[in-house]
Amino acid sequence: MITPENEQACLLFRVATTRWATDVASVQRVLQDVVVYPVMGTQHWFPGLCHVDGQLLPVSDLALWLNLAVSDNPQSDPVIQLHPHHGLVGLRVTEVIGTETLTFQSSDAEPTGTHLPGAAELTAMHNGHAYRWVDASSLIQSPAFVAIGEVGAA
Amino acid sequence: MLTKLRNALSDVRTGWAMCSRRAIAIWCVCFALCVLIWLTGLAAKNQTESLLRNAIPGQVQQTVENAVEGGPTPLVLLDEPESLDQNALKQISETALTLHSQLQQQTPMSANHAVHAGRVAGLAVAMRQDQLTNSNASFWQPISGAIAELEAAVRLGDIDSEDSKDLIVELRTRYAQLRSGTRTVGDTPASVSQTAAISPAITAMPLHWSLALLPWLLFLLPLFCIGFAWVGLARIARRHFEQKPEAGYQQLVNEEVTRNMTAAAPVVNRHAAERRTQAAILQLLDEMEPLAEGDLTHEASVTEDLTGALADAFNQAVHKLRRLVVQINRSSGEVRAAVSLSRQRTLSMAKQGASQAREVTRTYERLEQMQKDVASLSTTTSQVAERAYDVATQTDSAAVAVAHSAESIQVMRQQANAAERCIQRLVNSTQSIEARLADVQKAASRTELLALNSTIEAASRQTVTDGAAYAVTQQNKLHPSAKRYAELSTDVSALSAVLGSASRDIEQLVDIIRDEVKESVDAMQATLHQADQTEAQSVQATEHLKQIAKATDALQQAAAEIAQRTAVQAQGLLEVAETTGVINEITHSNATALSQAVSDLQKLENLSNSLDASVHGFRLPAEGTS
Repeated sequence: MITPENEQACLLFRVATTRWATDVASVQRVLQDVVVYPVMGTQHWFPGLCHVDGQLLPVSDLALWLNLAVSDNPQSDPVIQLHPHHGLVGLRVTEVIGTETLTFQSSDAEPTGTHLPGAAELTAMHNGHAYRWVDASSLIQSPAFVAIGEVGAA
Repeated sequence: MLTKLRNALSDVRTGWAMCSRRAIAIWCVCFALCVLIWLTGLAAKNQTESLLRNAIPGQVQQTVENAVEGGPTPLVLLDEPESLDQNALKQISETALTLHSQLQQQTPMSANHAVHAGRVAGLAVAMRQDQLTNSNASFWQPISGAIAELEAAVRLGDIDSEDSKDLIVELRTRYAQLRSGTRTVGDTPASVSQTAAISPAITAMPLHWSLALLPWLLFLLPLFCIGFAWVGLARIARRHFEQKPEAGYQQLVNEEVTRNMTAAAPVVNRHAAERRTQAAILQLLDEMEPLAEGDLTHEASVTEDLTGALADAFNQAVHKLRRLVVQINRSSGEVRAAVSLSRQRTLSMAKQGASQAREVTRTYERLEQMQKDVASLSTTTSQVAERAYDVATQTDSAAVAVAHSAESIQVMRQQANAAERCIQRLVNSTQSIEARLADVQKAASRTELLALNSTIEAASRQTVTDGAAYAVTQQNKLHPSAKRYAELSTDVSALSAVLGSASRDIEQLVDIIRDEVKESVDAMQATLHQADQTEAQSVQATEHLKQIAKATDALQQAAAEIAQRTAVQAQGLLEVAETTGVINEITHSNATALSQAVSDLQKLENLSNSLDASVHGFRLPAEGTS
């Protein structure tokens, strides 16, 4: 569990204009140029499934989840594959910045993207940007995130 | 009888002794008058000669011709016919025919005057065939007029052949000989000579005038002597018989009366007849006395007495003297009028001649100035021609240079095309590099992703191994597998960074190369476009230079021709100026001669006035009464 004033190895990524940091141990790998096949009757933030190492990987678009502007070519956006012990899920973000060890601080300021499940009120500054901590396992295990089916589709 | 004769001689001697002094004085006056008339005639001849030689108006000439030919002149009183010299007529006709044929073969102006020669020949032949014997003024006028026309043509220059001139002179001489061979009443040899020699031998005119006056002098002198002798005798008789009878003569008369009183009555009757005769003589002398005063209005009464014949002769002499004086007055007036007119015309001609001389002088000066200007123009034109030649040479050189420039531009354009092709290949190569650079960038991206995933893997392994989050501070205590992943991640990250940096550098270099190539291509295309324009302009300039060279050659030839012709014109103007100078001298000479002629005419007019004054003393009856 992350606590303030402790160093944490993080994976930094950007969703539209928002910057996020997550535990690097919760990430399996970062996929690039994956072909996402749409699935009928799913939420709009769920682009579809992709084929990774013989398995189908569900991909959710955080920008669409956060109702932020998506990139011009979403198909080329990187997909963060979370570690399997958290679940077989992929998160499509706008950009993966890299891994970094950061020290998070509690933030009194109005947090952005608070509706993102697993988001904490901790931020860390890196290269002049503020990164907000998000717990990937909490995110993918949240009921809203799991309910990929379109409302009323069942 | 002897006694009577002695008495008569004694009376005459006595009367002559009484009147000789006065008669001699009057005779001297008459002689002086005759000499004055002769000198006037000589002066008139000289002036007439001058007028004829200077082609004075025909009025004077006609006046002289009239004076010479007869007409109104009293010197030729041709009333009675006389036979003509047939040989002279033949010679005149032959000479006139020869002259006629010559004039017809000469210039058109001469041919116009051939008709006069033909008329002379025709008149001579007619005179010869018809055996004409009349020789009055109207008889001679046609032939003389025709010869005068020919002589006028010579003076005017219409006839310039020397042979024709000689023939005309010969014709005049023949005509003079013909006239001299004709004897008519009043036509003395002097008058004939005067008539004949007027034109060809004008120098004989003094003799004409003097000889024309000589018979009148010879006629007038005895007349005056007789008249004055009669005057003297009348006075002597009047004084002897009426007023102052002298003792000797009275004694003789008394003796004669005494001796004859007893002789017979017839003697008394004879004395009465003598008295009547003496009275008639005295009356005649009284009637002749005004003549001594120059009064020609009076005439003697012709009676049946002894003096009737004398009075008749006296009246005839007075008539002829009247005609002479009238003719002298008329001729003098005509000469004076003609001389005055000639003097005025000559004066006008002298003024015009002076004006002409000034104009000629001005023209001469202008011609000299014009000649200098034309010579200067010739020199300038020559310089222009030389300058045009230089320009033509320089234009040819410029045309050659422009042609070389065009060739150089052509070579440059070919080289630019080659360079453009090279640059195009470079562009293609750059595009290939860019294509490969995408691969490199893709590889770098994947390497970076691999490094990221390696880092993630290393972190995952550390988390899996220790079951707890790791911290940087514990990095040295990592699990060996995580450590190896961490080292691999570091190497891959370094490789990714190198690849990324290299790809970025290559991309920047490719961008730079692309930009520079683009600039080079643009510059090359601009250069090619400029080269094309320059080449076209060079071709145009070459054509223009050729045209300029051609025009310059034409200009040079034209300038050379102008210079040559201007030089000829300058030479011609020089000759004209020299000729004008000669004309100027001649004009000045003519003006001087005209001035001299005016002076001579003035003298002639003075002489005419003198002649007028000389005959002014004679009183003439009113016209129609003589």
